[in-house]
Amino acid sequence: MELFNPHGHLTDDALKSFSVGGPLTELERLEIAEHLDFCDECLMRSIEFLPEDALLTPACSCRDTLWKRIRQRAVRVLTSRYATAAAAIAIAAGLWSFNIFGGLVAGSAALSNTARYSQRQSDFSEKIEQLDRAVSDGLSRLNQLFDFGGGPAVSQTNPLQSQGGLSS
Amino acid sequence: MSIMTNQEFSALVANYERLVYTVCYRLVQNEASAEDLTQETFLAAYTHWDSCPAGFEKPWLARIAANKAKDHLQSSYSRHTLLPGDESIPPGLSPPAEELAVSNSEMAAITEIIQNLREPYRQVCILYFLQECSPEETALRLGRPVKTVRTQISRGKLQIQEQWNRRSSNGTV
Repeated sequence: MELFNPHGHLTDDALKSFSVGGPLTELERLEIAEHLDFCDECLMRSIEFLPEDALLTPACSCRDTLWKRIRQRAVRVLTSRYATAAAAIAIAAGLWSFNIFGGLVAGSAALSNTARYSQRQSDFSEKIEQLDRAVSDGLSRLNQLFDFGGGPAVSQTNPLQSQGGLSS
Repeated sequence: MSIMTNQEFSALVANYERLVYTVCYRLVQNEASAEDLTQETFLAAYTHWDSCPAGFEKPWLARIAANKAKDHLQSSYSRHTLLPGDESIPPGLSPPAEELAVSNSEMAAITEIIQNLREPYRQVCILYFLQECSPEETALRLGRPVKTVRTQISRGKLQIQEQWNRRSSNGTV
């Protein structure tokens, strides 16, 4: 059986064989998959060869576990983002507390205002710590939001709003 | 299309789960793999929903399913097939240049083999081997992804080699 016509498109025989599960070798199935991956024309034709009554029903529906996997992925992405931000803040705070940034301006007039400068430095450190705590609280609240213990398969919240960044 | 509610996505899964599963199953011919690929397809659809053209959900999902099945088949196929070019010849063991020179009659025989290759390898090999286009140029001319063209070149090379060996053993070259 010829899978491709001289123009490089799938033949009707190939699509018929594909739709009814005819005898195709692994290489032939790979060639069909590669072609359907880029050819719009053959993709539309292949769908025409798959009417409703030719469709198969999976033994185990993916609907049962799909939302769980979506939530897991969203939490992983968000956790990774917040962990990165928290690490950056911690490093900045550490450098600040060791007066690394102060050394950069050591030769400037700031030296004459040491007391005021120290006060500003401690204020800033405090703000950084507050921000760090707020991020950690937000993250733990977010983790509580996602119930892995077996809630309903379809969440009532909109994941595109609550799992920001995934849809882009 | 950029915003989709949970209910809409659930409806999409309900409407097209059988289509996606059928595409995956017909290509990989294994129930468990097809179920996994169906889930992977919807996961990818959820993540990249922005790129779905409005009104074309069905072909868009079928394409993702075919793409997932292709990746699965490629890794499975490459696990038990060594394509020419994959094996590396140590420099010291390469044949001398004079042995690599191809006579006119051999060149004519190779050209004939390439011209008679079956699709989807014929056009790719004509452009790559005979017209000396790069894989990128070949992909552009044929409207195929570069990665697919590279794979087809490798498999085409294997077919040329097989036919060449057959001709050599028959004494026709």
